[in-house]
Amino acid sequence: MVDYIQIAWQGLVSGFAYALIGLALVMVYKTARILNFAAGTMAGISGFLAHWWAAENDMPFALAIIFALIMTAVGTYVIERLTVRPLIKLGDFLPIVIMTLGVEELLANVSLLWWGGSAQRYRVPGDIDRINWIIGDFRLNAWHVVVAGTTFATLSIVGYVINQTELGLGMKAFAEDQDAAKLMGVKESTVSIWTWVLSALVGGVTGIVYAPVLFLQQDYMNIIFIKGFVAAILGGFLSLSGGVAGGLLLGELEAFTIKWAPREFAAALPVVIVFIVLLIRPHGLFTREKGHERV
Amino acid sequence: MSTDNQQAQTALERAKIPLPRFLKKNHYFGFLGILLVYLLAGTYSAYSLTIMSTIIFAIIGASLIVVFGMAGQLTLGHTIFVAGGVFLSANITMEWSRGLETELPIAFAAMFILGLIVGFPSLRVNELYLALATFAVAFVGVQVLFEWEQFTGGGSGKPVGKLEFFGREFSRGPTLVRIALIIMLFTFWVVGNFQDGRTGRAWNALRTSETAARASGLPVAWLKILCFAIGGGLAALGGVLYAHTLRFAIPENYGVNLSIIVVLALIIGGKHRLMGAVLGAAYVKWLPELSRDVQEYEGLIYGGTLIILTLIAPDGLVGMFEWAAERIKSYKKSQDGEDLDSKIAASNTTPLKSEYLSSIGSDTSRGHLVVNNAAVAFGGVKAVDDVSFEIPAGAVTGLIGSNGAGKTTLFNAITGHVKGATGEFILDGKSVSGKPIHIRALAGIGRTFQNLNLHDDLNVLEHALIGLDRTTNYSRISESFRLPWVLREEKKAHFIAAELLDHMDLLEYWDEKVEDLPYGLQKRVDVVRALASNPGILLLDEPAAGLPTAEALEMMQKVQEYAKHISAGVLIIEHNVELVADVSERIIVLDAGKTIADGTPEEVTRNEQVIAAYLGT
Repeated sequence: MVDYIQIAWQGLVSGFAYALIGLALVMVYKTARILNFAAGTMAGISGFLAHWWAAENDMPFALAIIFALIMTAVGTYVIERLTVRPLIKLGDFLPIVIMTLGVEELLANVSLLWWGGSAQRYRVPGDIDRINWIIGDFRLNAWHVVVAGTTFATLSIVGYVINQTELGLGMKAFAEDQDAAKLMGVKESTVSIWTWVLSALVGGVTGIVYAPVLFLQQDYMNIIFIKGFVAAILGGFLSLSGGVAGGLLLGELEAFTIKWAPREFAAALPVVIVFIVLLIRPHGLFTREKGHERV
Repeated sequence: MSTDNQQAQTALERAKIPLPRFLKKNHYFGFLGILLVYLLAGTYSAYSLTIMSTIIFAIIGASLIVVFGMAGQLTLGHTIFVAGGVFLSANITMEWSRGLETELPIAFAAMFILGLIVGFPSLRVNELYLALATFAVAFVGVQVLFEWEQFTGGGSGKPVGKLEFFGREFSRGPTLVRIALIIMLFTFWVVGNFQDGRTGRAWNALRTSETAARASGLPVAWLKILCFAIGGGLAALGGVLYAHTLRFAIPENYGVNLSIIVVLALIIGGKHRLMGAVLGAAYVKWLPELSRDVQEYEGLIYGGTLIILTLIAPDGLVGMFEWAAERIKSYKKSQDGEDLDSKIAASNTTPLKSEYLSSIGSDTSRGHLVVNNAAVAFGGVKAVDDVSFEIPAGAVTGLIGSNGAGKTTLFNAITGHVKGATGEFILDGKSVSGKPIHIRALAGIGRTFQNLNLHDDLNVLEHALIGLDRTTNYSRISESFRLPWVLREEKKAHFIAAELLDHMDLLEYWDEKVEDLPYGLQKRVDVVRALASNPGILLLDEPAAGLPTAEALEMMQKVQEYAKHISAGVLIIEHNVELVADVSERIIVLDAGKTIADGTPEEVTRNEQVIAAYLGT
């Protein structure tokens, strides 16, 4: 029994990461109908920045994180204005996707040149990522508790922004109907850029909080990015809560598959899930089918 | 040859439309280039690795042109096909001790089949999702390769055996370059033939408007899957070469990075041209040769180049060259004082008589359409509510009603463009209810769109040819090898297209891209595409909206004339009641989803209910 609880907890800890990245992807997709391929790398760079401020510039842990997040926000602002914004007028999404691919290639190489290709340990105060509490037969890592706490805090903040602020209202309006929102005076470029920034911050928090778990490596967030995307597909890509639920579900599925299935299959699980979901419920597990498209 | 046929030729000749030929100017340049590298192989041994990888990248690029350039399916999982080729090659040479004669066909066939599977999500999701789904395939693919030790040797990889062909062993080096060039020639030949043929046209059509492609009767689902299969098979040939170049197959070489680089290379070179595949390959393979500094910043430079090119030249390096060439040409022309808009003389003989044109259509009237209890509901709103009528063969019928009366929705129900329509639709005795859009189109339902669903990027002639797809009779296999009957059928299609354009007064614009045409002409292109598909009944959705009455009337007369020629019926939605009354034998009036009147124009325009609901007083 304890075995199952242990596996379920592990699944939950990975699931939090998928849920957060899934949320970040869905946010941008829902408001702007754009997929950001650089999301994983951007989140990874946030992790590196936090590490860089703390370890190489001797900044206090918390301040380093704040600095890293500020830099993430500013960087995202610049990237959106310089690369994505000029293409939005064309009204075609393909150039934008290609553009984010170019940004991904560029950023991945910037981070490789800056930090090198080797893995580094992200140190946290008191090395609490090495503390394991043993409760009966159940092992509980202290940092995993921090991960869980951060996830809930981030989800609450995002929930607050979306439900209680003007930005959130604008995002919802855009998600519903872009043209109508524009006619009602919601400023597209403002909503778009703050959605990007918010999404990058969620990604950045994920990148930082998972850095001690995964080790800082040039592409350490790529795998989380892929699985966050699978989570978003599970959730139907148009529902924020669906993306979160999809992430948690994927984490559990994965944890139990690794336990019982052959390694080849466990590795292929995300693609299997994508194919099955697209086959049976292309609109996701948690959302209802959308109406018809106008011809 | 009859005189009628000669007249058809003059339509082509007047417009100077080049006929499809076995070899074009591009072919000669391509052959010459490949021959040059072939003969010089051996003189540049210091660079032979770079040359090999350029050729391999060009092959992979050409295979991506099929998937991405033509069919428009952005795939980021293309390297799994390359990896498939690589590891099949390693296994075949080591385990079976067989040579290229086994490797190439097996790699092609196996990856063709894998392509059928990988292409599947493209049917279910939009292109955005697809990009990510294929990205996941690439990401997970390499992990599976790592774990599948029996096939790949796991993380440490697998050696590749001798380079053999039917037991004859070759040294690597110049010979491998020559073999690679021959395979490249083959790949380019096949891809180039698709670009010129009906499959390429169909891919272009579905890239630019899927809805319209379906309505033209193109099997969109099969075409999408097929592009992945063909692209996958051709990429695997590149993989086999890769295996022999590196002599060792390691899973980690074929991850997401390679997938992204091959896409970047093609986009940088230009995704619509084979030359783009070559330029892109050369760019990513020769740039690092320039200096060590470049090597270090390789990825940075590619990413930067891509960002800049996407902003200023979406068609890549080839696009930039073509744009420059165009500018020089038009400058020269303006210097020569040549009249750019020299009109093509109108024909003074009666059209619609040529041998080719009479080969399509039929003698007996078609278009007998029965609609029984058609209904469409959106949520609680009944857009079409239990509508039944019958249209006799060959009739011209009007369909009028106020905005929101359900006219377009009724069309969509007949053509299959709206989901969840109930009722029975029978065309010429065959029921089409519940069938997919393209099957209904092939059964003889042709349509135009209220909001002009044209294929941007394609020219007017190509629109007519897309409509003619079903009358063009050759298999995709013969197309890929450009067999003689392919050219014969293509010529026939070009003749018919030219004459149809001539009839609709579009001939002088044949090589204009549709998005550059004025609205009125775009409407005509939409009609031409539908007419070319030789429909039994043609559904016209506000063909005259926004046109001056005289122009609208003229167009309607031309359409009627052509419909009569191919013995087709016409059902037309139009707000201009006078125009409808003028051309139709009968008018059906819809209001709030129901039929409120059905009769001759005189009866309908006098009907009180119609006057109250629609005409007003």
